[in-house]
Amino acid sequence: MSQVLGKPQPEDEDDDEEEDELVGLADYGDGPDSSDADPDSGAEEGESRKRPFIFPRSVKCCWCTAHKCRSPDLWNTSRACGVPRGWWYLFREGQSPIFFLDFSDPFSTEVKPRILLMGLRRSGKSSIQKVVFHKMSPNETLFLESTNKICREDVSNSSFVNFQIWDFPGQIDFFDPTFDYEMIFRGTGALIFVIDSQDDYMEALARLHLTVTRAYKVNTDINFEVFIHKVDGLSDDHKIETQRDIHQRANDDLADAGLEKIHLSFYLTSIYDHSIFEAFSKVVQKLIPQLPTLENLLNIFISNSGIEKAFLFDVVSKIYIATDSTPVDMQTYELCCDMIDVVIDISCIYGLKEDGAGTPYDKESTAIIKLNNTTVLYLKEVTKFLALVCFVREESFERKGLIDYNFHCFRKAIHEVFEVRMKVVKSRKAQNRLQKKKGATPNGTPRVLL
Amino acid sequence: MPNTAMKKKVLLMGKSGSGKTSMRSIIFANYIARDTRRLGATIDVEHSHVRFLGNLVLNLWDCGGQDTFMENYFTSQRDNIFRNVEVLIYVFDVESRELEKDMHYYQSCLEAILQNSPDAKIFCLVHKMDLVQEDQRDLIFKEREEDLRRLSRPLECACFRTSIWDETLYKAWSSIVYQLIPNVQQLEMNLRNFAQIIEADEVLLFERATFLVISHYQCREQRDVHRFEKISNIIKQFKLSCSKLAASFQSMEVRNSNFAAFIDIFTSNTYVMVVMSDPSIPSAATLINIRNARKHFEKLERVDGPKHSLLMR
Ligand SMILES: Nc1nc2c(ncn2[C@@H]2O[C@H](COP(=O)(O)OP(=O)(O)OP(=O)(O)O)[C@@H](O)[C@H]2O)c(=O)[nH]1
Ligand SMILES: Nc1nc2c(ncn2[C@@H]2O[C@H](COP(=O)(O)OP(=O)(O)O)[C@@H](O)[C@H]2O)c(=O)[nH]1
Ligand SMILES: [Mg+2]
Ligand SMILES: [Mg+2]
Repeated sequence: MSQVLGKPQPEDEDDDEEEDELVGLADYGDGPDSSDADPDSGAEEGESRKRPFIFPRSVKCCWCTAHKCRSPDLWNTSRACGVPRGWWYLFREGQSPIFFLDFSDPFSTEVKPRILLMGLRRSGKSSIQKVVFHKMSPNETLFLESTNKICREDVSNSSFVNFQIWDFPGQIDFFDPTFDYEMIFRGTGALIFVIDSQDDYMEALARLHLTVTRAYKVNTDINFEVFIHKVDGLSDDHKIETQRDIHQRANDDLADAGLEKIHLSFYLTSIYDHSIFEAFSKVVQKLIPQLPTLENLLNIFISNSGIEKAFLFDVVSKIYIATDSTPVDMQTYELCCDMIDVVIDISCIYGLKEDGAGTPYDKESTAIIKLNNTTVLYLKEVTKFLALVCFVREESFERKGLIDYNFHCFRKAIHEVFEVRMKVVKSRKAQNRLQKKKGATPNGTPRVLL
Repeated sequence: MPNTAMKKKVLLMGKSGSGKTSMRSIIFANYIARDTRRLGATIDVEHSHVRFLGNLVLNLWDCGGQDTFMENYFTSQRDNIFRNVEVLIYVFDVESRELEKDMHYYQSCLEAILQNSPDAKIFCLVHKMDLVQEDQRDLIFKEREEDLRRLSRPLECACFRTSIWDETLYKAWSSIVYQLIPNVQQLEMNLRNFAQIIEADEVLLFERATFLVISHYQCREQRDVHRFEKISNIIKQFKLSCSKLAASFQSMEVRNSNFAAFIDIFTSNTYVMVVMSDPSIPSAATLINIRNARKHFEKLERVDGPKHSLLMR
């Protein structure tokens, strides 16, 4: 009677060794001790204290002190100066340096979508990055300094989300001839422009216009995403009015310049609630080429398992990568986020080895939460970075065996989807090294399901 | 059992704005930290009764801290306020600029306690620690603690550092209510037996409404010494998120390759958390064990319940 998803494949487990590399990222952090490894990184350690096992690395680029890695007008990997893989910087004489985070492998940057986070000073960019990717609690962002301290922030390299966030300290001067903004925009998948809605936003709108038009000239494929931010301070009416006004003005400006083909998307966001995660989820989803496949898999999975709603989450950022096609209700999404928090928090306390080694989230990670209204929340590990979170009625959950079996197939299918992507990356790497590597041929195709 | 209820008077004092009402609202009234920004100053004394563990009623006296009220407490209301006090909680704002005045009020308070309720237990909370730079916190707290101890003599006081923005709040309040639970030794002994029988690494008992840890037993050393208050905080937050969906949290199972933890409703006044590390013990077995122990602990909670300890199988 029970339909199942896909067919169990006779593949063996050591497949998983490859899957660990699935998204081509570095490992989870080094363990709990390294969070304390940097004695003088001061108050910014705050959030790593709370989740020491996910974000153990504290990065301090010696550019600030020793200038060892100085190399004008060149993009550099910062590894040379002892900063962990993933940091790149551009140094220009007399200007603040630009640092950016690259979660991916340097060899494969051109295949990774890149997200830029831009906006006026104090608009909330660093706060967004801290809250979404570093689990800082919103009230702690009050202590963030607006100086150019980007090079001292902690790195998260444990997210599925395979993109880069560029936080530009200060303003960029597009007319500065030595500044190669073309190079920056060329590889960009989405440009998030943050506008402080509690402030006068005329200057921000002018800046938005300039940035968008420049970027569009270089790369017409960029998604332009406007975050109307800090809306926690506004009443509901005021929110709608502000969004309408900003929307109108921004599009008028574009129309005046004859650029109405540029499409801007608007989001109302605040770090004090889940709206920022929701907005980020949408931005990221647009950049995931496998999205239709993932949604399809989720639809098949839930309809065969008696599940009401399922989300595929990036565990670290709580961005949902995909969900089935039933409508998303904000409260449901929020509860999923909170569940992930609980699961990771408890696993950090009890789920590490005695010496603190291991990771809180691993292959066996599972959680079941029962509510009094016959709802069951079910979380399971899918990949190192992804978790499936489902809403199930209690009576359907009685057939947990079926759900688990279908999940097994679902998980395999997801791995295959990403394996294709991995193989592409791998072969590129292999070419780069002028080396042939056995088994790395990019000939995989997504498996058609049922 | 309202007539068998045991009432205990708890005084909350400290200067205005030090955070008394905020703490009480978070622990006993399901506020989240951010909501406390909307609280106004407390006028005179606000009384609240909190049923705790069924037969224990905490009678909280939240004493507004503005000068005029304070003066009043020590003069015209003196007997009324300081009589029959079981616990005095004195809250100090760590950022206060009037340290001397704070200490002066504190000493007046101790004097009144010594006269009217000499057996009262005294807790000093050095509060709003989040406002102090992290590397300074230990130092500042040590200093304050020393001063307070000295000033309290001949009375003894227990000092805690607290902030509504992290789990330290739960640590302080757990320790406070622990002092008030009538049959706590018996509870602990039974919890130990239970833990050993089911081969748990650790068992925690939470009060159901506040999620404060009221008893625990560990069979195996655990790394994190702050885990009790962290878990109180984590689960309490989650409970509040569930209530947004008009649902309430019932039970939870979390595992990875190193552990399995079960949190479940236990008696009518408690939740239990059982932590296992032996992967060969299936979830179902642990869940049945928890269910079987329920009845026994239910009996223990009643004041005149049987005084024998847990014997299973
Ligand atoms: N930063 C920080 N602020 C806090 C903390 N606890 C309370 N507050 C804030 O302090 C302010 C005053 O808190 P209340 O709880 O009203 O103070 P109170 O002691 O009841 O004052 P009275 O009723 O006048 O005696 C509120 O805005 C709280 O949000 C804390 O731990 N850290
Ligand atoms: N009310 C409110 N304040 C915010 C929000 N996001 C950021 N802020 C505050 O805005 C200020 C500037 O933020 P910051 O991230 O340093 O801005 P940046 O210069 O764009 O990096 C900080 O004090 C933040 O606490 C929000 O969603 N709501
Ligand atoms: Mg910034
Ligand atoms: Mg008050």
